[in-house]
Amino acid sequence: MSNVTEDNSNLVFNRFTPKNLTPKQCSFIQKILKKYILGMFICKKGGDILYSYQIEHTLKIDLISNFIAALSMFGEENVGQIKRIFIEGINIEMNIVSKNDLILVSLFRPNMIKDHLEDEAKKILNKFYSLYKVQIEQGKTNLSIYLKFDDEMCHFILGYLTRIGAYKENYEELK
Amino acid sequence: MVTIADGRYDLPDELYYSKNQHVFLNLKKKIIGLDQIGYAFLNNPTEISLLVEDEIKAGLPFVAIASEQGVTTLNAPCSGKIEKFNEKALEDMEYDTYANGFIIKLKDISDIAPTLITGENIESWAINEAKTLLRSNYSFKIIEIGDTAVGKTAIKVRFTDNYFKKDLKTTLGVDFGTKEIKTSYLSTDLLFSGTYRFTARMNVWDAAGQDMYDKIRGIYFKDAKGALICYDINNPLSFNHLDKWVSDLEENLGKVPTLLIGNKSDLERKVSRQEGLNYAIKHGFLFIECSAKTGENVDGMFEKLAIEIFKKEENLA
Ligand SMILES: Nc1nc2c(ncn2[C@@H]2O[C@H](COP(=O)(O)OP(=O)(O)OP(=O)(O)O)[C@@H](O)[C@H]2O)c(=O)[nH]1
Ligand SMILES: [Mg+2]
Repeated sequence: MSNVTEDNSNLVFNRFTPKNLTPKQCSFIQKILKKYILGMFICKKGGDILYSYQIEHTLKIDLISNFIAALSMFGEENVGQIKRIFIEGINIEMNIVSKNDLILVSLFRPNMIKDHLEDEAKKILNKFYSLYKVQIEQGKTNLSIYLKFDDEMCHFILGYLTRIGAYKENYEELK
Repeated sequence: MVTIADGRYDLPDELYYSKNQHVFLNLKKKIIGLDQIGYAFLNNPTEISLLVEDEIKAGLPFVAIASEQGVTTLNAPCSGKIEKFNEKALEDMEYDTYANGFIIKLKDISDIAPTLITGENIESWAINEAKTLLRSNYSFKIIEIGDTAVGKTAIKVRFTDNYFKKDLKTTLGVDFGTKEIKTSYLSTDLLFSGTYRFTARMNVWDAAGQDMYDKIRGIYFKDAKGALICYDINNPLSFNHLDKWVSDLEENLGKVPTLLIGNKSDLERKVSRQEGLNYAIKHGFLFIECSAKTGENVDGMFEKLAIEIFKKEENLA
């Protein structure tokens, strides 16, 4: 973490401390992610964001979360059915997964490889719930409680990039 | 194990801790390190160096740690001969401070500082210590209800965007606004008196007031932490309908911090201030009169509500 000194104000790993990565690998992954992913958040069914990271800072994710929450309120099935939303004009796609009274929304560029996305998103949501079940059920919305999820996210992101082949392939070029 | 601050910090209760510096001493393993709260206080440490040769003395500095904030020296919690200095301590401190993240291992231990705390004394001390550390950053959903045309949308817009639009259209379904506020709460509680500063993102859900939405409005209450019930001081009917809104609220959320708002204070008054206040007192609500048009009291009332919710959230009532 301490080695990534270049402008890291809006990189994916800006809050993460990937233990198993060299600084070089780390900044490389940041570059891949920046190209495709705009952000991600986990919010309650009621709309409050509990955990988020944002790469594209012009997106108003706090409004987006309330909007998606409101959509989801017209029945569990509905948001289950809206799996992906494409917003024309601003070139953004959103993937929505919901479970256990939580909603996970990932925002990305349409040209990103979407294989396994659903799958991974569900895993993330399950992990989040299993780690913070008590606090979630108590309705705690002090966001610092959930900040530690950064560690898990880091693993998920790496795992995902490896799974879609983005990580290993390009890693060779890097050397 | 003592776990505090909603699971953020663990402190094994068999260890001994120095009160101010959060240095821990493990008598069994004869290791010394920094506890999780102490580590958090350091804020991104970069370098650690031993200040003594082969022996530490209780109460005297033995190690220096450099971080973004400068250099911190730690005082020894006991005396003894050093067996090993862990140069890689900082690498493991964040996740594994009580084992691999230790700072030094001793051959023998003597002169344990009498001020160290352990066992049952840890919890209250640690809770208090963590309070100054915690970044308090909340997200509060607020539901805004009341008769149609009392000015709910106008209040929301004044709060989030600070302007007044004269010809607002009636809300269909629900509308949102969001804004982050910074505020503080001065507690006079005997144990934890002091100022709690926090930021709260207020997610305001402005529900349509027209009768045709009565059946579906309930779903918008989900997870709300507080409520604004609005009437128009220029329109007695909207005041007379308050009971309907209160029962709607209680049905969906039970008791939550609630602010009763008499809006349009810029217009001629047809509901007295006292009537509003009495109604609020009777139901245990906060009360304020405001004007979305002039902006009078609008920011202040959201702050008031945020503080009430904060108190409830942190059991500071
Ligand atoms: N003079 C004055 N007019 C106001 C004030 N607040 C709102 N209004 C006007 O009252 C009318 C209704 O305001 P809205 O904010 O749309 O009312 P609402 O409560 O959201 O109504 P619904 O969406 O139908 O539930 C609009 O014409 C506003 O311009 C105020 O403080 N003073
Ligand atoms: Mg309205």
